[in-house]
Amino acid sequence: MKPYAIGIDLGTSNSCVAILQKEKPEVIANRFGERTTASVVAFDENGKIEVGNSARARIVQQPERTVSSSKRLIGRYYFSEEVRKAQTVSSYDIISGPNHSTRIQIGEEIFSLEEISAMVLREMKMIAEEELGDPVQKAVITVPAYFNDNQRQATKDAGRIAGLEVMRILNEPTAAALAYGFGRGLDQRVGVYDLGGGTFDISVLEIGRDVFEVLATSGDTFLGGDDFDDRILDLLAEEFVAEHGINPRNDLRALGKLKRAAEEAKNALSEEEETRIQIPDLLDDPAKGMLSIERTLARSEFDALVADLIQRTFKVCDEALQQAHLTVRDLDGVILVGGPTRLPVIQNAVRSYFQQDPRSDVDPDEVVAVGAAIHAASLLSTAVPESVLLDITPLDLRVGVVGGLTEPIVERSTPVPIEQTRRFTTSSDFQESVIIRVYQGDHREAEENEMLGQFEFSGFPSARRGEVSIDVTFEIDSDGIVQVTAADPATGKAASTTLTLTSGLSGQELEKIMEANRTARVAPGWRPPAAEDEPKNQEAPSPSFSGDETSPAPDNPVESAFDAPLFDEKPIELALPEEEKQEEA
Amino acid sequence: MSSRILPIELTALARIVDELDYYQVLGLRPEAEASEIKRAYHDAARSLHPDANRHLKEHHRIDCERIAKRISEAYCVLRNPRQRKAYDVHRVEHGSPRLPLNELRNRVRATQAPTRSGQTQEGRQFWERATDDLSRQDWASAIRNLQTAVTFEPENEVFRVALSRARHALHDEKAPGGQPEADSAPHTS
Repeated sequence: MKPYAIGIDLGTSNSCVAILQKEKPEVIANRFGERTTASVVAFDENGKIEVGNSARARIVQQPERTVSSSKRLIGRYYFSEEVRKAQTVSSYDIISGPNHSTRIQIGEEIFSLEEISAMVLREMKMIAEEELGDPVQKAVITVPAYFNDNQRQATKDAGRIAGLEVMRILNEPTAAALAYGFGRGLDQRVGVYDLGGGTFDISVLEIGRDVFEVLATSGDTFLGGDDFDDRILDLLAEEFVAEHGINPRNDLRALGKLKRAAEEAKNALSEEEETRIQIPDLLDDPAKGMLSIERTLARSEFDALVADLIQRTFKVCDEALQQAHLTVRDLDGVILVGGPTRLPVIQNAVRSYFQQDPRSDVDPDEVVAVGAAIHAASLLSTAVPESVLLDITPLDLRVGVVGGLTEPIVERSTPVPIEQTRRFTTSSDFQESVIIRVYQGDHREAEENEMLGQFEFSGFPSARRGEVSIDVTFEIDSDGIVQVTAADPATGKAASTTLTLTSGLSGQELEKIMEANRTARVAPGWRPPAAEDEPKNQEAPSPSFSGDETSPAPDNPVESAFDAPLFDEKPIELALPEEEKQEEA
Repeated sequence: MSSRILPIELTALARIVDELDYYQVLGLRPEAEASEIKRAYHDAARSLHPDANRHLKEHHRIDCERIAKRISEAYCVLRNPRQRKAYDVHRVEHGSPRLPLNELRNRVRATQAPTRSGQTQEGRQFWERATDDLSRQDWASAIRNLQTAVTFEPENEVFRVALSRARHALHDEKAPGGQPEADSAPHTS
């Protein structure tokens, strides 16, 4: 059997799958002939699961059983701002799972976000298999450049649940640049303006023939095409409230209809100067009977509704250019990625900001999947690669220190793979162990960053605070996997952990789901064990703990550390060495 | 297409890579031009990036990851002229081939703190005026003041970015349907 490797662009709104065959990348259409498939999963009452555009159509009939935009939630803690924001606009139930994770409840069943994304990925895998007539096992899956490690790991797990060996989690803009420059021997600097359904990313790359080097990347994970839809939705809802005194957003079915109408209106305005919005029988009012919405939306009106959102993207572009030490005039090309970039209002704004026409030879809906397919083929082959991708870290990787603060070890924009070590010390007298907490984000305050994980390090000599040295090493390998090691430089004793999820599925849960998938075609929902009879270390994620042979490993110190509440104050924290403290003051 | 490195060469290189200074890691002379640094990084990536050596046995791939990490580190330091300068001082004075990025950045920051608001008196003066203009959304005046500030400090990125943003805001204000942002104070992050 011939091994196949596909590229999947797992989008917030739509997903796309492509493959490189005979040196030619090709997008694979689904059985309806559509080249992209809606990233929507609908669960009917009988346990049947539908994915794609047919699922999207069910948002109106069964809003509470239809999950859309799940990419906004994957790898996010339940208490995060993004989850709270999603709860106010989503028609399905978002609940809290173990270890502060986020789960989706459909009727009686509870699903992790990894499982929801896996359903979309499995659909994309099946689309490819139908076309190729063979099973597909390997894939490169893309994520926004600005995704943090939790979100990347969760996406990788989703791939595993879907039965795929995920060869690489690739950044969307890097994939887009690869699709644009592959095999063309270019010598260019390009900007990739990627406005997806839920996120905005800008990356600046330098293409030197076969080498694709990311110079800078910046993004806003709170900004996307969905926000454009929401602006139309808000306009319609507010007008409805003004006219009838009832808020249609409080009714799930009405909200579903509004969402759909808003999205359709936005899409229509990509082509037309104005569009007619008609929502018959939106809401049944006991006094007034059936109420409907009918209205024309002009492009100029829409443009004004979203002008500030577009401005926000350019603020992010400024940041990226500044990081790359470039101005817009240094760019040889601008590549647009994502469905919303088809909107004339965005194309005009992009043209004026970058002072050039964006490339028209790149399809914004397909370019990322095509780039992923090219990279997948390259990783599959043992021949000399036709392209080398040199990426950077999108955010600082930090370690927690005393006082609720963090210190960076690998700063944003550092080329990967990389390894960096920083020396710390103990914060209290005769402290016997330290908690190493790992954060990702650009803030000094721990709580402002995303926590990636924590582990305990012990076995260093007992001494007064500040007298013990602890070297913390962060390693990011070419697969993007982060490994953190704490070591006592005096004795060489070390403990390390490969960061897996703290917010997502534990290794055991993942195994359970994958086992269930092997026996049943459709994954049953994961059910939480009753809180009381839950054995302690079963819920803990199980990162590989590769403590040194000589290190006296207590009973599973890593796992018990993961059980600790996230931001609790323990007197066993790291501190900066005295000389560095003075430098910083 | 570049030729492949032999596994035996990889092993040998991995063994000594920590003793090499950043120039040696990239195969550069210490007096290399800035433009040569990028080329050296790309060339090194073509033959030494782990993705280019996937065909090798695992222990050779581990060697490869190790070397690739040092290449990234070397490039990260040398691509930035200020960091390169600080590293050169460290290399000559202490004779040590490596320096943690974090420490290097702290050294650089200690020497360049004033650039945010300007290094010259004139630069600072016009920057202050421009900041006022920006907070009042007086784009035209901000552009004039920033242009002057940039003439005094052509290397100041904060000034240059603020200037391009002000130009953009002015353009949007003139364009029908465009809305200037309310929050347009220059950001210095």
